[in-house]
Amino acid sequence: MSFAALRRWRRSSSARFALLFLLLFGSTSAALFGFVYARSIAYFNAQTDEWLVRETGRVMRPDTDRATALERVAAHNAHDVSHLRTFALFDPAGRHVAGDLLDLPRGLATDVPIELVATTRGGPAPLRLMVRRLANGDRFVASQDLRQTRSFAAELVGAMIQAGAAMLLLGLAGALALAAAQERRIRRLARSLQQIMAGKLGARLATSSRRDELDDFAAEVNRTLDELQRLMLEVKSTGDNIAHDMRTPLTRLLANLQRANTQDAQPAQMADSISEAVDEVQGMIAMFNALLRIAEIDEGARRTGFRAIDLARVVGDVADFHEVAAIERGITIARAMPEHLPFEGDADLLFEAVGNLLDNAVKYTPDGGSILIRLADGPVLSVSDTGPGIPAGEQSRVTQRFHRVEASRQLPGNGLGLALVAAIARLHRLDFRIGGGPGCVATLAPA
Amino acid sequence: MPRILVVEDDSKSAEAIASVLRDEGMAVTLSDNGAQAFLLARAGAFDGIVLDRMLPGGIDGIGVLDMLRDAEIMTPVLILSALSALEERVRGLRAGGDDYLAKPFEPIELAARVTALVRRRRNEGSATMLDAGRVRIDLIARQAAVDGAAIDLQPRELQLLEYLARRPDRPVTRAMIFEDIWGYRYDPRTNVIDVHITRLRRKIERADAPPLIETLRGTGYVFRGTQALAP
Repeated sequence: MSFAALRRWRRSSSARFALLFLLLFGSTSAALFGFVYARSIAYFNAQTDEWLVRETGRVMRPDTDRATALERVAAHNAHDVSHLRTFALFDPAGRHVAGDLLDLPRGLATDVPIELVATTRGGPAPLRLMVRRLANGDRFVASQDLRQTRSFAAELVGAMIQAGAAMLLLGLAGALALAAAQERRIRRLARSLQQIMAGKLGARLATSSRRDELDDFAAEVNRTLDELQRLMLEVKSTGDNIAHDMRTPLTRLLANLQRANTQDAQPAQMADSISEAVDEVQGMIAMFNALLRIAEIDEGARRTGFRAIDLARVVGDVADFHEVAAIERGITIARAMPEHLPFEGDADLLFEAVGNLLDNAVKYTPDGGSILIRLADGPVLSVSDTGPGIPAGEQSRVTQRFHRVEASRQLPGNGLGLALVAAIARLHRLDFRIGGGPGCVATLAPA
Repeated sequence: MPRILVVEDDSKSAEAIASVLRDEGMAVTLSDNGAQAFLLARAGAFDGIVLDRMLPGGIDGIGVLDMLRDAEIMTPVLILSALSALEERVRGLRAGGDDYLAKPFEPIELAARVTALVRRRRNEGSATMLDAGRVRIDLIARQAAVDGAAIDLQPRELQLLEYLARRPDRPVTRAMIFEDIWGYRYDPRTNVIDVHITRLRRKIERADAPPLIETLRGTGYVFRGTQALAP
């Protein structure tokens, strides 16, 4: 493991979490072990003390004489083959009289359990014992050899330490593995992001089947990237389209100006050339204005023009305005709408949006066809016509800037009309959709 | 000769605007800052002011307009503004501007609007009869007559004819017609207005007489009916 990797792990939040958890778990376990240990020892001592009190009280009354005492000590010790719980007797001078315990320090408290290390027949041993002074001055001792209890306790501590060490090791390994796994996932995400930054716009962050918070985050980033890619492509294609759509009028403009500039140009020809040049420039200005307007509307700046209006009146005005153009071509415009429909919006922009829809409908409907304008509460507005319609595959794309259905390329227009309608709809929190077939149905409805 | 004050800080734009207006027979005074513009407007009896929305220094176009209206100087004002600040239009008109034109604009549009601005006050009298030479309109009965013969017109057609006849020999642009007759503000890039005009012309013009309405290619129309036909 390299130093850099270690340093990285130190910074890794998952490693920190795992270690923190390990520390918490370790200290809790240590406390638990301490508690169990203390309770076990206390339990053993209580057992021993109960026996000590019982035996000294039952076996040796203070008035017991030495012979009886000797007899009882011998009988008990003979009975206790394991020499764990033994009796002993010492004379008033402290000399050993009988029993396994060979030596008793002077001045020990009587009738309370005491722990000490003393010499027994089996060598020095840790003992828990109780001393009782008899009436004749002799001291009777009941003792419990603690070696077994001690070794059990030592065994217990050893086992706990081993288990603790194993846990620590496993936990540490787990923490590092977790941190490494997380680190790998994040490195992978970072690599994907670097690729995207380097221009591979279609790349996306990989998500696992776990659906954890990192996946949620990656999914969120992917959604952002989708939107960014869409915008980038739109910007790119808008740029391309501007360049493309400018080339033709600029070429024609140049031709017109050069024609006007020739020596032998007749005044009438010159005027024609110049007015054609003016047309081209006007078309270009119109295209830029439309682009700027879409951008401006999208920024929402125009919402300052919002006020209470009668949408039915606006739509009616649009229909009145365009009806003459329809009549000229034998197209009928039918209306199905309420007399009034209050709405909060910008009347100029709504007139423009609906006007664009109706203008398109008139443009694409064959002579003698019909157009239906419907307006209902919601507001839901639809303009349907008996024209050729828009192929299903293109219906969602026609609202993008510059998108023109292939078949309509030779008709005048800059491919911005429906994008403008879409922008105006968005500003009014309406959804703009093109559907239908046969014919075309353009619908504005609450998003 | 109408006197126009042009307030525009960009000297090239100012010269271009001035020459367009001079071509229309107007006397133009230039100013490149708000304070001077206010003083000039207050001192001189101008018939109209073309005011750029953005001006250097402490007082911008709206500021000048506010000061003028506060001083009760009601000279008609046309506000010029960059297109990218359309919401300014609302503010400009609220502040007391009489018309508004977004940059980039076409010279003929500016000329037509300033002409309309200057003449607006004189025109809209309370007469009951509009006599524009070959065209006479009874404003009460809503009835038009061309060369003495009554013509049956739809209300919108009559409105259109009245609008043009009130501005004889002056170009009016499609945008002006659309704004003033239909009452909505945006530049309709469609030929629908041409269709309306064509239908009107079909009703009022005769093959054996000069046209009443002349088309200005790509821009608008001029009413040419002031000279009664020789009998």
